Amino acid sequence: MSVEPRSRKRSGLYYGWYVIGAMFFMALVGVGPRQGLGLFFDRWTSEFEVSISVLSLMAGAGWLINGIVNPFIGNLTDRYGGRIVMSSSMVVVGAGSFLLGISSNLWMLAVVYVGFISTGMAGILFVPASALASRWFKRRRGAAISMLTSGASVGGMLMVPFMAYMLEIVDWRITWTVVGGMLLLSSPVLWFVLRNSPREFGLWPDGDDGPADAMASTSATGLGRQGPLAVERWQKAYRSRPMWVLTFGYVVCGITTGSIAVHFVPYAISEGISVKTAALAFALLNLINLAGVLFTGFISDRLLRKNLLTVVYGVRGLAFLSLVVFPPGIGLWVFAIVGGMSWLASVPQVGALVAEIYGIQRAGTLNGMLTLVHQVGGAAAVAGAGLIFDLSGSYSPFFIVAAGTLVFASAVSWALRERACSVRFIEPETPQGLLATERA
Amino acid sequence: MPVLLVHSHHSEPSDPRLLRWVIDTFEQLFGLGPAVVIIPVGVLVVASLGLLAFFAFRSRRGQLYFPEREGDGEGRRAK
Repeated sequence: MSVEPRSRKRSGLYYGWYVIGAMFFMALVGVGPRQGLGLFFDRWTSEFEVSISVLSLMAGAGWLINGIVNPFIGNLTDRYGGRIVMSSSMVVVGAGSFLLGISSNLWMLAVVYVGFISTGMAGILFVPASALASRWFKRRRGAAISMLTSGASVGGMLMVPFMAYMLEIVDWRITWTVVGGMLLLSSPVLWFVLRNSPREFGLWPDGDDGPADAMASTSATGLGRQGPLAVERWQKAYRSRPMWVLTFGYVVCGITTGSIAVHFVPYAISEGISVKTAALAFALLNLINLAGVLFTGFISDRLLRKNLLTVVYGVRGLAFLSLVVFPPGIGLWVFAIVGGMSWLASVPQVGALVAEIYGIQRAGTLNGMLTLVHQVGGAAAVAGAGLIFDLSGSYSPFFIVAAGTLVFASAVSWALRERACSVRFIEPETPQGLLATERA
Repeated sequence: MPVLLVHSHHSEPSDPRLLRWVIDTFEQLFGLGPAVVIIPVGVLVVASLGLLAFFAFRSRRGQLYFPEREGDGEGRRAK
C-alpha cells in the first residue's frame, strides 16, 4: 500500500539508506557461497573422485546460467518489485548452500550449485539491487548504487576467509550448512527492511521534503519524472543509440574482467612471476577496486556519468597496455593499481544511466540484458585469451586487443549524448524535452 | 586451462590457489587461529543485521509520514 508523498520536514537518516544497507548486507553475505566455491575443490576431488576440470566446468556452467537468468530476474523485479525478488532469492541461495552440504554425489552438487546458488545469486546482486536503488534515489543514485555494489567486495574479504577457516576446523558439509543457515535466517529480517518504493511510506526519493526539489518531481504513474527515451517495453530501448552504447561498453567490460579473472595467474606464471606475487597483485587490485567503486559512485552524482564511464574504460585500457609496455614484474603492479581503480566502477555508472535514460519502469530488465551480454563477453574472452596463448605462446596479443576494445568503448561512451536523453538534465516543460528524443 | 575464477564484477568463484595464498600469508603475518577469524566475522555479520533491523524499525516509527496523525482523515497507516 503506497501513501501519497507530502511535503514535510523530517529528521534522521532517510529510510532509503536502510534499504541500501540491506542490499549491501545481502551482497556481503551472499557472495560467500559463490566466491568461496574454489575452497572446496580439493575436498570434492578426493570425496567424489572427480578432476578439477570437471568442477571447473560446473563453475563455468554456473557463470553462464547466472548470465542467462539475469534478464528474467530483472523482469520479475520490474513486475513485482525488488523486495520479493531479492528476499526470495536469498532463500534460494541459502537453501542451495544448505543442500550443497548434504550432496551425496557430483550430480547433486552440480544441480544444486548451478540451479540454486548461481541462479539465486542473480536475484540478490546488482540487477534487482540497482533497479530498487533507482526507485529510492535520484540525485544520489550513483552513490547509492556504488555503496551496495561495494558490499560484494567487502563480502569477498570477509565471507571467503570465514568459509576458509571454517573448513580448517569442521567438515565441508558443516561449513555449507552454517553458511546456508546464516542466509536463511537473515532472509526474514531483510524482507522486513526492504521496501519497493519510498511511496510505500509516503516518502520522496532522496529523502527530499517535497516536490519543490527538481529531481524529486513525480508523475501520475508514481515512477517519477521520465526522460524522452523512457520506455514501457524493454525491447523499445534497443531502438535508440544509448542502449547500444551501453551494451557495447558492457560487452567490452565483460571481455576484459572475465579474461583477467581466469588468466591473471597463468599469465604471471608464463612470464616467470611467482603465483604468490600474482596473488598479492590481484589482492591489491581488489582492495583498490573497493575504493574506486565508492569514489566514482559518489562523484558521478555531480558530473556527467558518461564522462566517468569514459575515464573508467580508458583507465582500464591503460592498465592492459601496461602489461605489454612494462617489464612483467613492473607491469603486473601497474596493472593492479591502475586497473583496480576501474575494476568495478562501471557497474554504478551503467546502472544509474539505464534508469535515468530509459526510466525506472524497465530498469531491471534492461540491467539484466546488459549483465547477460557482460557474462557472455566474459565467457568468450576466457576461451579467446586461452586460444591466443596456445597459438602464440604469449598473452600480449590478447592484451593489445583488450586495450584496443577498451579505448574504443571509452570513445563510444564519450559520444553518448547524456544531456539530451538523461532525465537529470531535461526540464519537463521545455522544448528541449521534446527535441531530445530526436537528437538522442 | 582450468576455469578457476577470481573475484570479478559479478562475484564469480575465486581462484583456490589465490585464496590459499591469502590465508597462508594472513596466518604467517598474524599467527591467528581459525576461531579468531570465525568468531569476529560471525558476530559482525549477526550484529550488523540486528543493528540494521533495529535502526530501520526505529526510523520507520520516528520518521515516516502517517497522514492520520495529522488528522486529515484521508490516510491509513503505512505498512
